[in-house]
Amino acid sequence: MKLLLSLLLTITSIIILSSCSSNKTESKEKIAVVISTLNNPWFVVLGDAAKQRAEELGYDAVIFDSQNNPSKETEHFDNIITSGYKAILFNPTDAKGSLANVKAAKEADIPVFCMDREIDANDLAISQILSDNYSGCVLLGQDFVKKLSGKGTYVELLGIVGDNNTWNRSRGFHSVVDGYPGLRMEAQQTGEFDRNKAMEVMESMLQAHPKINAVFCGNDAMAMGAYQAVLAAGKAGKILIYGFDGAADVITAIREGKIEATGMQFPRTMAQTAAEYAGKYIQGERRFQKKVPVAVELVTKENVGNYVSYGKSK
Amino acid sequence: MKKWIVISAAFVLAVAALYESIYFERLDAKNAKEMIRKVSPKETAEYFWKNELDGILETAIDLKSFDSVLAANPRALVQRYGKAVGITSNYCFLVKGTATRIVREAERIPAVITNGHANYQLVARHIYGNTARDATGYFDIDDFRNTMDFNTLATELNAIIVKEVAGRALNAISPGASMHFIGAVEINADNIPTEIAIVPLKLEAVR
Repeated sequence: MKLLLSLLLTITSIIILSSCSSNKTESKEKIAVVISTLNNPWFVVLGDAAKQRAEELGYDAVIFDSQNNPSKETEHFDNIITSGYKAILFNPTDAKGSLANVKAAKEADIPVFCMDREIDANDLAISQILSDNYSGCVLLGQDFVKKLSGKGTYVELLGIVGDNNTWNRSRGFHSVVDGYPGLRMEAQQTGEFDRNKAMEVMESMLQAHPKINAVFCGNDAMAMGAYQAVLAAGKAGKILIYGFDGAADVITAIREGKIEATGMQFPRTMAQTAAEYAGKYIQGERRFQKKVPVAVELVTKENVGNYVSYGKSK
Repeated sequence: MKKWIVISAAFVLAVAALYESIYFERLDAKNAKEMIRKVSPKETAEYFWKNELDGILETAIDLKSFDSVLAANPRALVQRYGKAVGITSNYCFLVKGTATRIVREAERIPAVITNGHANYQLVARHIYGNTARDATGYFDIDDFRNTMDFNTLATELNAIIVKEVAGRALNAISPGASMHFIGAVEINADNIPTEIAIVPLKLEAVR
């Protein structure tokens, strides 16, 4: 009996001790979420969705804001590499400028999964999950041609020149519109994806080309800036404004007839996919598609009821 | 006996691990990938058009079968024949059938299909988007240096179609005449349309 009791006590002690020790060592693995800027609601949604999905998968996730500054981004990567992170969900500041950071992470055996913005290399990030900007802008171009009946003049506000998204959007749009000789582009300038900058540029464009029929903008922030300039010039309702993103204010503006159309991106899908890929990588999976385009959908006054900001209505 | 079981299990595990770490690909596929990385999207499109397209067109589905399966079970159609790139509800297919040219200057040419569930029209001008590229199922986005090259390839392929098919081949077919076609279509699996555009990849007069 005594022997049995002491055996039971020993087993209980072992169980208690092992549970204590496992509690001590069971700290969660960490995933870093590096976002180009949190000064734009689109990227806030992207970062939050990535963090949330990583946490749902059982990881600790921390968001780093690069403030659209490549040096800041490098500082973040330096910290992340020395702090035991297991993966990086990355929204780069620059297709070329961010390469060194991803290379440093790769050399430190930390897998990088790009979200929304592409880096100009195929062999550094494990996977890049990106909006299909080109196809989205083909849809916008088709709507643009239809609404203008293939005739008229327009201007274009480009995004950040060093961002591949800028050119994929512009080229998708022009792949349609340039086939119609009745449509003439009067000016093309960068608004740097920024609302205030776009408003200033649009004001100058309106002074130089007061008779334009439309403006194509590389994102929704610029579309709202362009709308402010058009409104101030007393031309609201006379110039068709096109955006890209699916931001809340643009969805409302489409409903109110202030903006003609936008391309709906799905940042939550991109962020969640990146987090899931990172989780699989940490668990040992090694085969991933290097580039994963995510479809973009056309939102106009006719179908705006099917959408909310950055996604479909349930 | 037990020893043999352990050895066999270890062998199976080793083979599985090896399979996970390496995979084999056909030499011609490997060469095509290498070529894509080295040359411009325009050259890739031209090479594909001259050397690879004909074999791929043999896999096209008869338009009447496509139409009936689309109406009865679009999910099955997508699963069996649909081709897509990335995360999307849009799927591309190769279809074949006949169409009749009614007038010389037309944006679209109706395809002949009796009791069809949808209306099908060949696009005769203004060809854009990724439908032709993706319906062939030949190109892998990972073989391209960046997404811009992958998209430029679609533009270059469309330019060839405008010139060679919608231009040269179509011009050889008189108004009133019928033609066999093989083309590419794109369908949104969540929202099946009733008007479906076909990007022509091959046209031949019915003799």
